[in-house]
Amino acid sequence: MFNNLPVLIVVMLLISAFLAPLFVRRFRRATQVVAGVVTWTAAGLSAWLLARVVQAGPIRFAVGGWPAPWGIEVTATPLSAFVVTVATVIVAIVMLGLPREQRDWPSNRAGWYITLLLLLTAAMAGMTFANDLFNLYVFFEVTALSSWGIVAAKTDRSAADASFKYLMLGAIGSSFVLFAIGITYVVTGYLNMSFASAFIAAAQLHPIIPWVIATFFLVGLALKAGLFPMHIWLPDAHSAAPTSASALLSGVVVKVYAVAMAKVFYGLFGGASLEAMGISEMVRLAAVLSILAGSLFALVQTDIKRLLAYSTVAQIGYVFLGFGLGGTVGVAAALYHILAHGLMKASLFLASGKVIELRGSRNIKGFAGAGRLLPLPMAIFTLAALSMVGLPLLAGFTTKWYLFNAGLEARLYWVPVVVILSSLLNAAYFLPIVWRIWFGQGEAEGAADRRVPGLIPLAVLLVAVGLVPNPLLNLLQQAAAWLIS
Amino acid sequence: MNVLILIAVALPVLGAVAVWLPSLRRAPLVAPLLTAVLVALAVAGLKLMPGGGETSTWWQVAPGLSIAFRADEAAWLFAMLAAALWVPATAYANSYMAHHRHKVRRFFTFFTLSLTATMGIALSANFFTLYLFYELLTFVTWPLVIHNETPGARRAGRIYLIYSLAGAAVVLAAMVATWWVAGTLDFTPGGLLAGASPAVIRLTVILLTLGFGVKAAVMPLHAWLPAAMVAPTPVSALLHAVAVVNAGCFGLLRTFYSVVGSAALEAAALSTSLLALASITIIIGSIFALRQDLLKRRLAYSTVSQLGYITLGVFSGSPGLLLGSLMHFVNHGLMKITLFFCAGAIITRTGIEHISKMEGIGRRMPWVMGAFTLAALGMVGIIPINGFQSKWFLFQGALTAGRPEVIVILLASALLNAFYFFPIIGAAFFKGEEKWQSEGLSSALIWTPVLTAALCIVFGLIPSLLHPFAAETVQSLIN
Repeated sequence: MFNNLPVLIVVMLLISAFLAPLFVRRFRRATQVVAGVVTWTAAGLSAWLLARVVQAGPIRFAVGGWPAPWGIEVTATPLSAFVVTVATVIVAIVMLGLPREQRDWPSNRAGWYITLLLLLTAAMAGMTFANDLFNLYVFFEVTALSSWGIVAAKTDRSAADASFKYLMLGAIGSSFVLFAIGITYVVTGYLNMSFASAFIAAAQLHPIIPWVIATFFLVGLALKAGLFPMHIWLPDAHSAAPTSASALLSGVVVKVYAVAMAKVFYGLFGGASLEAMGISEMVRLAAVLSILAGSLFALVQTDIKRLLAYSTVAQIGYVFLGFGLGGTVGVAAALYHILAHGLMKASLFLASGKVIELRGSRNIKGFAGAGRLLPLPMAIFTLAALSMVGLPLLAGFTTKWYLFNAGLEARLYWVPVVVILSSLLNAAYFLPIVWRIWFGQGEAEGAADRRVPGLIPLAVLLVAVGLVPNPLLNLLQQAAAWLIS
Repeated sequence: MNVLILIAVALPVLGAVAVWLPSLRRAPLVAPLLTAVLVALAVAGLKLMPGGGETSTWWQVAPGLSIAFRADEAAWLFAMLAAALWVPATAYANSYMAHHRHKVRRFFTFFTLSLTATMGIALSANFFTLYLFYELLTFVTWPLVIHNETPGARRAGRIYLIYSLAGAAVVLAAMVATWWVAGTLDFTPGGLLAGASPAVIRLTVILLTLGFGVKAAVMPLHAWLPAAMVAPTPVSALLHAVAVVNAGCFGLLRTFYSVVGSAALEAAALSTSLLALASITIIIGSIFALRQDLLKRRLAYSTVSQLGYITLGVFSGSPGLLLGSLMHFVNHGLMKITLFFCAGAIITRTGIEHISKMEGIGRRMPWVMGAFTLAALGMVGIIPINGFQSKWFLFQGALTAGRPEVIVILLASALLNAFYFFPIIGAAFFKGEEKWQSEGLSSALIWTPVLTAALCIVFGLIPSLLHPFAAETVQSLIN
């Protein structure tokens, strides 16, 4: 009975997504609550699924009883169950803030926004569980479409512009991925990754063919993930979106594309052949450029949301670096960072959202004196910022430590240097904000409402994964071992 | 888990929170003092209690990364020095802040948290713990540097943060290198890198020197220290003359002998260039001190120069010089905190910060300037003040280590010390029109420098108060 759990999670989210607009006009509060409950249920089911697959091994499920390679196959490995759990949990936490955020929205917009959020969650789960390229592509597109939607949910011009830019570049990314899928199908005759992989391993293909497939996948997915230099849409889109959307886009969505890349690459080619083709090196190079360039761009931002968005460009680099380094340690570091960065970035966006709301401006000058205005949210902002900088005992440090180890294991001695440099850059743009928050001169009056729903659970999780990373990392290394084998 | 270590490291956190107790009107004054006294007693107890040298692990973050403490000889020496001086410094800070009322609670919160960071550094049993508290020390002392919130203080705070964070990042790199080569981060007598290739050892030593050299103010990484003099004087006295800078020296000492190891250090063959670095720091620091008119800045450059004595011994790798430098580690702390206490008392009582305006100040404040004179004479190295002893052992060490050139450096430095301290003393007592009067010993601003100056003489007269501890520390580090 557990075997259809992955499908159940996706379908449940999909159905409730389209029910939301029907009820939102009359029962807005109830709709928001039900959406939240559905997401929490999905989170609970994914966590249960995770516990199951860790114990009993991966689950393969043929949708509709049509066996692979003809039918749609869904697999729940420790990796995909973990990623879906992280995604649903963060979505669920962020959705706690919906009633407050949508207070002044017209019903129409509020309803469709909930639809888009649930659709996005369903699509991310579907993309992560999919084991065939066609299904992956479908959910890939659904993820992209709902992302565009939530960016445009704010009706101002900049949101529309950003969304359009995102749409155009996203379409280019999609076509790259579609092309890669097309070649895979033409060459192997399969869309199912397990079958295609077996074919590629057995057939004596010209080495250029897998290389082309991998490169097209890499460009398409890296574009969607906002990896430098294909990041140009990301700061616009992530900063123009409503707060909850920014938190999710930056904290969760970009990572799912990185996971998709890892799944496709390891699923189709395997680690050794990726290294031999030079693809891993390409991933690492793009990751390093992203880590450094993202931080350098963030340094010069005066708009807090753009700053956080550029920081995402840098942080997604860590995830790609972990996958590019490979090995259980590297992949585990990437997976850990997916969670850690999701928590950090969501906290940062939610806390900043409150400051923006109060000051009426996105300029970082608005943070001056915010510590006295919003003590708890700003304390959590500080915590998340210090974690970004990589202070020991916080989650950011654990990622860095595992990246060091993965880099040294792969005999790539520049990895620690780059990661340490990136910590310093992070300090250079986060600490001035922390300084402003606590010591800056600014108005400390005028906060009628100091609560930021969802921030405390995020902070608690962030502290927990930082202080007790061990059990989680053991699980992630197991997940990484499944992916690699 | 060792209770005394728990008290030493964790109690200040409670103390820092207690500063904010609203029910206790004098909480900002009582809590830090009580904390400092208890921590000092706990650290003293570590020496008396059997089993103090055992490792107590608090928390394992990840395999190989644990927070663990151990009170071995070197740890105890630093912890005791810092904890003991924390008590008069807190009393002094109470009086000082009573005159300079600005964010008193915030000040004492971070002042007390600095004690946690310092104890953590001193008592750490592995590199990770050392790194963690070294990084923490930056973050808890930064608000103290920028305490006055003037543009100058902010600029100094920025410099402080940039230097310290960059230094800590380099320390992290050294830690990663150690982890990669040795597979463990636990401090071990004899070091962890004995079997590594010379290139790796050399890289680690250079990283460590750069990383800890920032807080130890090794030239050219010293610029933050004079800049940090905008901080309130108790901070300059305790942190930027004793705790923070000695944390840098201690970090060097600890990692050179318990991570790299004396044998590997010899294999790296870097000691000559490192000694040259320390010598340059000693001489150039003194020359810079000559040119300062602000008393606190002159003292800061004097600190830069004197820390060179300590790093000299650490860099040399020879037991004799190391013994001398450990003596100076303690003696310099006592003398320099006295000098800063005096500077702060003068600023508070008269508002004078510039040396050129200090004519006759000795007749207005005889106790303070008397203490200043004693400590300054100690800096120059005159018998029977404790500064002489450090030099004596450094001389001996230089001869046994076959480095007579060190003696020349030390003599030149003594001369420069005399050049920049004697004019202050001369002007204070023999120039100006002031009449003799007494400032009274009732305020902690006055009696704390007198107390520490008295300690300078006591330590100078009774070498056995310090020498056995320094000697056993050397023994434990180099066997």
